[in-house]
Amino acid sequence: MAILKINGTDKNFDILPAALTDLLVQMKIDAATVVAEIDGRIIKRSDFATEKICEGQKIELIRLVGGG
Amino acid sequence: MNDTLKIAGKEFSSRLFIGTGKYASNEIMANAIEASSTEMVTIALRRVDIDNPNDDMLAAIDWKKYQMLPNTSGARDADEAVRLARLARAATDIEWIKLEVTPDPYYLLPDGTETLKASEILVKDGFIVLPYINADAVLAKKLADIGIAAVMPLASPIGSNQGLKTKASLEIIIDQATIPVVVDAGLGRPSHAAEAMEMGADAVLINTAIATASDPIAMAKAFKKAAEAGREGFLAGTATTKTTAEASSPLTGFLRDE
Repeated sequence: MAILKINGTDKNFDILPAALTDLLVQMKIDAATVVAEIDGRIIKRSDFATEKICEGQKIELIRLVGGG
Repeated sequence: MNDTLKIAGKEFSSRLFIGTGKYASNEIMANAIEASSTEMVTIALRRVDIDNPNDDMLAAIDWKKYQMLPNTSGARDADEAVRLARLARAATDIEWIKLEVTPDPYYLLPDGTETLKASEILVKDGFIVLPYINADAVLAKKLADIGIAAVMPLASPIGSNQGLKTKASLEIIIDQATIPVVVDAGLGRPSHAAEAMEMGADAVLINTAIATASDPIAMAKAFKKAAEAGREGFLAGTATTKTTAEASSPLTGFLRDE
């Protein structure tokens, strides 16, 4: 069992997704609409497929929403 | 008449900026934006809702028509604002940023020192920075000196619809400005927008007043007309205010014997 902290909440994974893209697929999140930050590093969308996921990482998944 | 607003080298024929928060639906939002004839639309960044991950409001908007202006709302200090600005740039490939630093959630008043600090970092980092500030002419000048693109002083607290509570201070900012002044926050009625534009503001930003109106699309049209009317009034040269009456009709030839 591996843990990732995603958007402030601990999530348990039996098998850790290999790359950020795989994590998004598993979470049913459309990669085209999000930006990610892993342990404070901004990950550009073009790097999602090559960005490796490791146990214990703090991952922020952020999207654009309505605002003034 | 060619009366375009220029910010960071980009020309805008509309002087009404629109926020995208608080709309009842994405469809109403998109239609209100269309009705306003705006060319500048603000958005925010938030965590993906893990339980409802694919609510993409941005798909409702035809972004070819509008300059997207991401904001740093939610930032409580300069570090958080810089982080949000960089995330916004990564998400959009847009370097425009409406810089908001509001430590107090009750009044959402902007923190001037943190805003100045974040502006310095973001300008150096290549951002086109439009800071949201209190109506502080000294701060506005300091920000202009470090290279921000436009300043966005508040009329009254965000979403309060109170109108031009800072009018006297806004007049000083406008008088001294070397960059565009966009009056933001608190404009609750079309007449408020018209008055800000009559005072010489370069543009106004409206969100709550349109989004929470009974008919947001009709209200967007009303704000469009108000901003245009105010601007035309300013350009026409507003007549001076006097404390006593000055007859509009001739003061001779009265039908009476004196």
